[in-house]
Amino acid sequence: MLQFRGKLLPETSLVMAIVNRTPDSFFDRGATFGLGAALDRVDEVVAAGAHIVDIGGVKAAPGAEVSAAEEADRVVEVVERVRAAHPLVVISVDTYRASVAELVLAAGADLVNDAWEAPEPETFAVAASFGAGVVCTHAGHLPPRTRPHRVSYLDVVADVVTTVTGLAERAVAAGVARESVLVDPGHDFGKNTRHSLQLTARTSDLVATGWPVLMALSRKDFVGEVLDLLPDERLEGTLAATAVCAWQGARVFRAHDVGATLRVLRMVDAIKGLTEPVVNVRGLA
Amino acid sequence: MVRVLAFVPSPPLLLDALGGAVTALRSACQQAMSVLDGCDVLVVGASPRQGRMTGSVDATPYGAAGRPADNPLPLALAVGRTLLPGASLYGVTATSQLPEVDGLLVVGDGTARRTEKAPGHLDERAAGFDAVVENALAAGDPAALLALDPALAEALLVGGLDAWQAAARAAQAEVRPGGAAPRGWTGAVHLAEAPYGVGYVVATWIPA
Repeated sequence: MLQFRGKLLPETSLVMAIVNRTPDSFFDRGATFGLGAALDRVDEVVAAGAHIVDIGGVKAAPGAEVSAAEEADRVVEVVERVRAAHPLVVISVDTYRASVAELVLAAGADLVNDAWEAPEPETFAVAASFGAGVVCTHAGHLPPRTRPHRVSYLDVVADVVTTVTGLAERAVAAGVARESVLVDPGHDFGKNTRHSLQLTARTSDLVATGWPVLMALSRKDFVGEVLDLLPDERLEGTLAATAVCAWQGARVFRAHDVGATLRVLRMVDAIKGLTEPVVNVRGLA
Repeated sequence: MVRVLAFVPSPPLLLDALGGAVTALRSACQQAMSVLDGCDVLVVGASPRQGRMTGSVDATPYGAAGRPADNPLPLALAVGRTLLPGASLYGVTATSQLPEVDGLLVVGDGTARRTEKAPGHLDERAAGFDAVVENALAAGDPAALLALDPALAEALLVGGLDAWQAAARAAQAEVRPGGAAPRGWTGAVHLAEAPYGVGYVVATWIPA
C-alpha cells in the first residue's frame, strides 16, 4: 500500500494536483505564483478530492534561472501553510535539488517529485532521513530544464523501465521505504511525441515492474502535437491518455484538472471492478 | 576532384517515416540536388566513425513504427540516403579528408538555439553563427567554413560542422590544384530558415 510519512493512500487510482508557484509555467502562466493564490489553489484541489498536492517553484522548460534560494523562497512557506491547513493531504514538492528537498521535508512535505532523473542523488538519502517518499522519473538522460533534440532510443520503453527501476532500487538502498517510491516514465522529457505515445500504449510494461507508476500527462506537448492544439485545448486528449494508462494499471496521475481527472479515474476504476458504482438502481428498482 | 556540391540539413523530419512537416524544406533540397545530376555523388554526414558506410535508414529510434534495423545509419547519412537513394555514403568526424569524387551531398545543419522554443532554448549567438554559415555558403567560401569555431558550434548544438568542414577542405583543395591559379566557387543559398529554432540551410556550389 502506498504511504508517505505515515499517510496511507487508498488502493484506487489517485490524483496528484499541480500547484505551481512559478510565474512562467506553460499552462497556468503564473496564475498561482502569488502565495495567496497558491494556497487558494491547494484548498480548491483538496476540496475537489486530490490525494496529493505537488508544489513546484521552477518550471520544467528552459527559461529564467531560478537559484536554490529563490526556489526555496517560493515553496517552503507554501508547504508550511498547507501542512497546517491540511494535515492529512500528501504534500509533494516538484524539485530536482537535494537542498530544496531537505527544506521542504523539514517544513512538512511527504514526497519529493524529482522529474529529472535524480541529478542530485543525495536527494534519496535526504528523503529517507525524513521517512519521506520519492518519484523516480525518466528524463532521457538530459540535464534539468533542457529540451530533447533528435533524441533516439533503440526501445524507449525498455530504456524507461531500466532507468526508473534502477533509480527506485537506489532510492530503497538509500533508505527510502519501498512503499514510498513511485516511478514516472516522464512523458515529453527527453522524448518526442512518438516516444511518449509508445510509453502510453505500453504502460503495462512499466506497471509489470511492480513499482507504482505515476503518470504526468496533463496538457503536455505530446497531446498538443497529436491533436495540433494549444495547452488550454488539451483537456480531452489528456483525459483520453489518462484513461488508457489507468486501465493498464498506472496508479497516480499528476493533473491540472483535478475534478475531470478524478471522474475519469473513478470511471476506469469502476470498469476494472476496483470500486462500486456510487448509485446502482438502474433496472434494479 | 569535386566539381559540384549541394548542402542540405539533417532533421529526422526528412526521413520518410517521420515526414510531412517540412515540405518546403524537402522541395528546396530536391531543387538544390539537381546540380548533382549526372555526377558520381558521395553523401557526407556526421558519424561516430569516419569512412564509407553501409546500412539502412531506420526511423524507429525516433519513434516510428516497425522493426529496428540491424545496421542503422547515423542520422545525417540516413537523411542523405533518403534524399538521394543511389549515392554512396561517407561518415565524417572532426578532421576527415574526403575521397576523390565528382559531387558531394553535404548533410548537416546549424544551431539548435535560435528561439526560446528551440531545442536548446535561445542563445543570442545562434543567429549570428547561422548567418556566418549562410554567408559562407552563399559566397562559395570554403575558408569561412573552416574558420568556424568548433567550441562555439558545440555550445550552440550545431550538427553540421564536421560535414561542412570536410566538404570545405575538399573544395579548398580543388581551388589550388598543384599550385595552379585558384578557381573559385559560385555559391547559391536556396533556403535558410529556422522554423523550429534549428538552423536549416540549403545551398549549392558550382565552379565559378
